Amino acid sequence: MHCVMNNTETNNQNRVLEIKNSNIAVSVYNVWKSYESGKIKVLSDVNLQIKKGELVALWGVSGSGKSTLLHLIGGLDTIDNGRITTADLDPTNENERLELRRNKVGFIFQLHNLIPDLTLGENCLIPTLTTNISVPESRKRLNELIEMTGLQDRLHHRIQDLSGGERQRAAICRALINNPMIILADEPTGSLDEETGSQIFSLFKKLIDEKNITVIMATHERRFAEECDKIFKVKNGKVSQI
Amino acid sequence: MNFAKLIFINLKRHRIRSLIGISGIAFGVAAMLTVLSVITGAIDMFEDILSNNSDYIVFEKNVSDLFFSSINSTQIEKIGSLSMVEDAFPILFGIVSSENHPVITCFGINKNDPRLANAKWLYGSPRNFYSHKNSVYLGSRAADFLEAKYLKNIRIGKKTFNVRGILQLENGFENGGVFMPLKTAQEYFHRDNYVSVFMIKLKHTNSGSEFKKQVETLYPDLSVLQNKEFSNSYSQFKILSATSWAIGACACLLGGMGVANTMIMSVFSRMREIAILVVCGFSKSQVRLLIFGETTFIVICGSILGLIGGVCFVYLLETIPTLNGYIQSAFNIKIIVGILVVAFTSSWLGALYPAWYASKIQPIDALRYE
Ligand SMILES: Nc1ncnc2c1ncn2[C@@H]1O[C@H](COP(=O)(O)OP(=O)(O)OP(=O)(O)O)[C@@H](O)[C@H]1O
Ligand SMILES: [Mg+2]
Repeated sequence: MHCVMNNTETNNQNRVLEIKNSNIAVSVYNVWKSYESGKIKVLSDVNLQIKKGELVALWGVSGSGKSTLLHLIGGLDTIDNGRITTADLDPTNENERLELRRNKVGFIFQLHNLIPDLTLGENCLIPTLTTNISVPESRKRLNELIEMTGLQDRLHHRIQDLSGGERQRAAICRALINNPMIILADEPTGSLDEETGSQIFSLFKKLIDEKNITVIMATHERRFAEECDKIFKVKNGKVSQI
Repeated sequence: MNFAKLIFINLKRHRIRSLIGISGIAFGVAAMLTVLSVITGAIDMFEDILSNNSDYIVFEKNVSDLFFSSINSTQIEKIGSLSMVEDAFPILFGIVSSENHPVITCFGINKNDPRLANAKWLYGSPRNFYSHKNSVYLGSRAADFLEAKYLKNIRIGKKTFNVRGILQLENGFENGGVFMPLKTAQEYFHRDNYVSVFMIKLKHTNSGSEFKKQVETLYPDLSVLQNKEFSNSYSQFKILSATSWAIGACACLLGGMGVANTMIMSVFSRMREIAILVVCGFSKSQVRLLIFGETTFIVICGSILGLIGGVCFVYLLETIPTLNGYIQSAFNIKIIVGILVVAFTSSWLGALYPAWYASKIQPIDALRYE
């Protein structure tokens, strides 16, 4: 048993080495994840690879483990077994995880998770506090993003004064401000009405085209999944491309 | 957008909570300042009584309080006639209690005592200091609270005296004291031929160590200390000073615990927000810095308010008629720095747990929690 495990481990490491500097953005190998010491099994032996610049949907019913997988890829949660490489970094290593969050990935949640009492602009600039980019440079990036998302006249409004769609657009700006390589979006349209949802999704596609970013989006809406480059179906703890 | 903004936004959002934290530390600082400045002021006043125009103080070795020190007349005569002594002033301290006035401090002194010449005489004159038997000379505050009038008789303890002078002295203790000719005091306190301390002024200050050596060889049961040395070694001062620092520090520590509480509440109520910062790339130390930044802001505001409040309160105490003169506050750098050190240290110690807790927040747990 031990032998087999060690073999798999070495193989994985070799494969991880191979993909370094290649055009792979995220690779997931034999990943297992459960909660409450194994009682709730969420992911079992999941494997997938996502190339740079792809727009990928993680699609599945509620409770299938889409968020869990995104969290593992972004280093927000720990895996039980297996290996994940995100932007050539190991999310289980504390320093690499920090680098990942600071410069490589941007998160967008179903609920915007913006900080109340700060203005839209201030919220978007929070990630810049963790990097060395200069104030004029961050201002420049903010203005560019704000213009792209059409939030120009909302810049100095506080979060509580914005609509749901505006908040979600602000969350997108925040996720993009440090020029990440990968965006992890967890039901970004989940809390919006159909039309606003579609607007946000097309905004997404536009940003991806312009900035050549990899986007992994968890969604249970078939219509959005179908517009992506790839769909991974999450079901019964397994992930398969369809 | 900068780090400070993140600190302020939270303090501003929970104004009442921040104000409670600030008031806690402000009260602590004010209390500590009051206790320390009043006690230090009192010690200064007492030191001042002893150092009046003299260099050395001679007293009985190993006494716990100068009121119990005894030097006999032979010793006084011998020491006073040493070649390096320019002037010598014996003092006999005594305390009388009466029904209305639990503590009346009496000073038995000689006519040459510099206090008499330096005081402002409201009634009477230093020239007549010895000319009347059973005469007393009152500090102006003592005259007030004893309701004494010039040339009238007053009762002090079991004896009646004639008020032969009322003088205003700068030192609060002295101004509230009763002065008597040394002989009268010795008789009254049943300590014939004894004094409490002997203050010495030398002809040349550099003959100090020689003077000390001679006296201590002659009378091994006496101590000779320079005024400064005396204040530093006198155990009553040390006890008083240590007690005031301890009480003050306790008050400040309570303030610090208030800050800790404010910060714990602050962390618990925004787990989600901290989780977002972590997702945005904040490191553990940045999160801790955020908590310490808030704490520091609270302590700075609290300390400023506390120092201002404390100074005002002490000045207010000084103006209260019944306390008038007893309180002579002393604010010095040592006190201020000491208070700030205690305030900041206690608050930062109090922030350790919330900061540690905040840095341990796992974004995934906090974000799942609605
Ligand atoms: N911390 C946790 N403790 C226990 N169970 C958990 C925990 N986190 C997730 N789960 C469980 O894991 C499963 C997958 O959850 P996950 O949030 O990944 O689903 P999802 O596909 O994102 O669902 P939805 O579409 O509703 O967001 C669920 O059954 C959930 O109850
Ligand atoms: Mg989910």
